[in-house]
Amino acid sequence: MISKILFIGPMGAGKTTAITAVSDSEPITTEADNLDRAQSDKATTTVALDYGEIYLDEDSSVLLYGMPGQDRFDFMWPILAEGALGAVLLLDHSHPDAVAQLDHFLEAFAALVSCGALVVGVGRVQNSQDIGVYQAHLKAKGLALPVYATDVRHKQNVLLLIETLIANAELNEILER
Amino acid sequence: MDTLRLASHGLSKHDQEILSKQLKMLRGRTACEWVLVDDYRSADVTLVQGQPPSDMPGIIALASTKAGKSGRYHLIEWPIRLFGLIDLLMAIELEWPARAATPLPTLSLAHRLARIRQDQWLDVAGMVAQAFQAKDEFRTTVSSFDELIERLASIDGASVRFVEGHHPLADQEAALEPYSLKAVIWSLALREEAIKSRQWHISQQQFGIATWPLFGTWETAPWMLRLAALYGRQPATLADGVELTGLRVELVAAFLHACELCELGLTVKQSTRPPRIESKLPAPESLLARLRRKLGLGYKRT
Ligand SMILES: Nc1nc2c(ncn2[C@@H]2O[C@H](COP(=O)(O)OP(=O)(O)OP(=O)(O)O)[C@@H](O)[C@H]2O)c(=O)[nH]1
Ligand SMILES: [Mg+2]
Repeated sequence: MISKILFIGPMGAGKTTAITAVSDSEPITTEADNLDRAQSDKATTTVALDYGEIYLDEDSSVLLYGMPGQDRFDFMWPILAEGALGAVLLLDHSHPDAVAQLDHFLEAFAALVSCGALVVGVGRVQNSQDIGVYQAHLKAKGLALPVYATDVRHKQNVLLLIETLIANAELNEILER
Repeated sequence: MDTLRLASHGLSKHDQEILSKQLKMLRGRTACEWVLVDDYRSADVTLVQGQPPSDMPGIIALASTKAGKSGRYHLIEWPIRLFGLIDLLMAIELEWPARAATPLPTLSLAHRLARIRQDQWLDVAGMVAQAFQAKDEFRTTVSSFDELIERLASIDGASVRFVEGHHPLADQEAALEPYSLKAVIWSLALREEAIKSRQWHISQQQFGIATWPLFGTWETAPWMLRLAALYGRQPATLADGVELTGLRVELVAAFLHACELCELGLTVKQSTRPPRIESKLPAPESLLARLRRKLGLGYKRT
C-alpha cells in the first residue's frame, strides 16, 4: 500500500528542509544553483522534485514529494495531487506576498482543500499574532483549514503538520464509509 | 468574604501605626475583610491626608473636619477615631457591591481572561500578571507554562482583580515571562467543566468552528486534532465527537468551550437529526494508524 503527502509552497519556504527532517531514506533532491534570486535569495533551489519516504513495512510506505516552488513547474501540480493523502503548504511570513501565495495554492489544489486535506505551515513568524492574518483570510473564504506557526528546521513541527493530515484523512475514511 | 485593600497617603509613621491598630480592633465587625497595603496603586481604598495624587485609583477617603461625602470623595473626621473609621468602612462596603455588581464574578477564569479588551495588570489570587490583549501576551513571574496553568487551573474567575493604572511591578517588566494570552485561555478552558456550565445538549445541537486552533503554539493532543478536523469540516453534535474520538463527552464539550473562548467562531444550532458518525477510531492495521505509530504520534506539546 502506497500513499503520498505533498509539500508545496513558494520558493524557499522550506519544502526540502521539511522532507529531509522526516524522511527515512536520504531524500533525493535535485538542487541546482538558484539563478532566480527575484523569487528567493538562497544559493540552491529544487529544480525537479524532492523525494523522501516513510517506510511502514515491506509493502507499504508513505512517499513525500516536494514540488518545486518556481512558478514554471505549475503544470506538474494536478498530476501529483491525484490520490494524495494531503498537502502541506509552507509559506514564508517574511515574504511580502505570502497571503497572495496562499490564495494561489488554495486555487491550484482546490480538490484537496475541499476535503480538508491541506494544512498550512507559516515560517519565519515573530509571534502568534502573525498567524492572525492567515486565519482571517481563510475565515473570510469560509475555510476552516489548519494553519500553524511552523519552523521546518524542527522535526516536531513537521510531524504536527503530518499528524494533522492524518487526523483529517481518518475523518474522511469514516465519513466515506 | 470579600477582601478590600486599604492604603494610606500623607500620614505620618505614627498615624499609620494607629490606623493599623484601629483596623485590627475592627476585625470581625465589618462585612468585608480589610487589609492594609503599602502602595495605594494596588489598593481599593486610600485614606489621604492632604491632596490626593491625580493618578490615585479606587475610592478615596479624605481626612477632613467632618464626616460624609464631598463629590467623589469620602470624608473622615481627623484625627481618626474608631467610630469614625468603622462608619467610613461600612459606608464604602455599602457602595462596593454596586461596583462589583457586574456579571463577572460568576465567570470562570478563562472566561474573564477572554473578556480582556485592553492592556491590564491583573492580580490573580495574589499572582501578579500583565495582559496585553492586542499583542496576545500574558506576562507573569512564573517561569514555566505548565506550572502557570497548574497554578491558575484551581482559581476561579472571582479571584481576578483588575489593577488600575500604574503597577509597581511595571519597572521590572523585563523580568516577566511572556506567554501567549490565547494559549493560557485555551489551556484553562480545556480544564473547565464546560458540560455543566454550558448546558449543551449531547445530540440535539450541532457545533461548528470557523477557524482551527493554533496547535503547536497552544496545548496540543491527537484527540484535539481529530475534533478540529470534525467540527471544522461540518456541523456535528457532541455525540458525533464522542463517536469519532472515543472520548468522554466532557472532553468534547471542553474542547468546544475552549474554541469559543479563543474566538474561533463557534456556531451552535439546533438539530433533530440523529448522529451521523458511526465508527470510532481507525482499525489498528490501517495505513494511517501504522503511519501514526511509525512517526511516534501522539504529538503532545504544551
Ligand atoms: N530563520 C528561519 N529559517 C527558516 C524557517 N523555515 C525555513 N527556514 C530556512 O529556509 C530555507 C528553506 O530552504 P528550502 O528547504 O530549500 O526551501 P524549498 O521550499 O525547498 O525551496 P525551493 O526548492 O527552492 O522551492 C532553509 O535554509 C531553512 O533552514 C524559519 O521559520 N526561520
Ligand atoms: Mg526545495
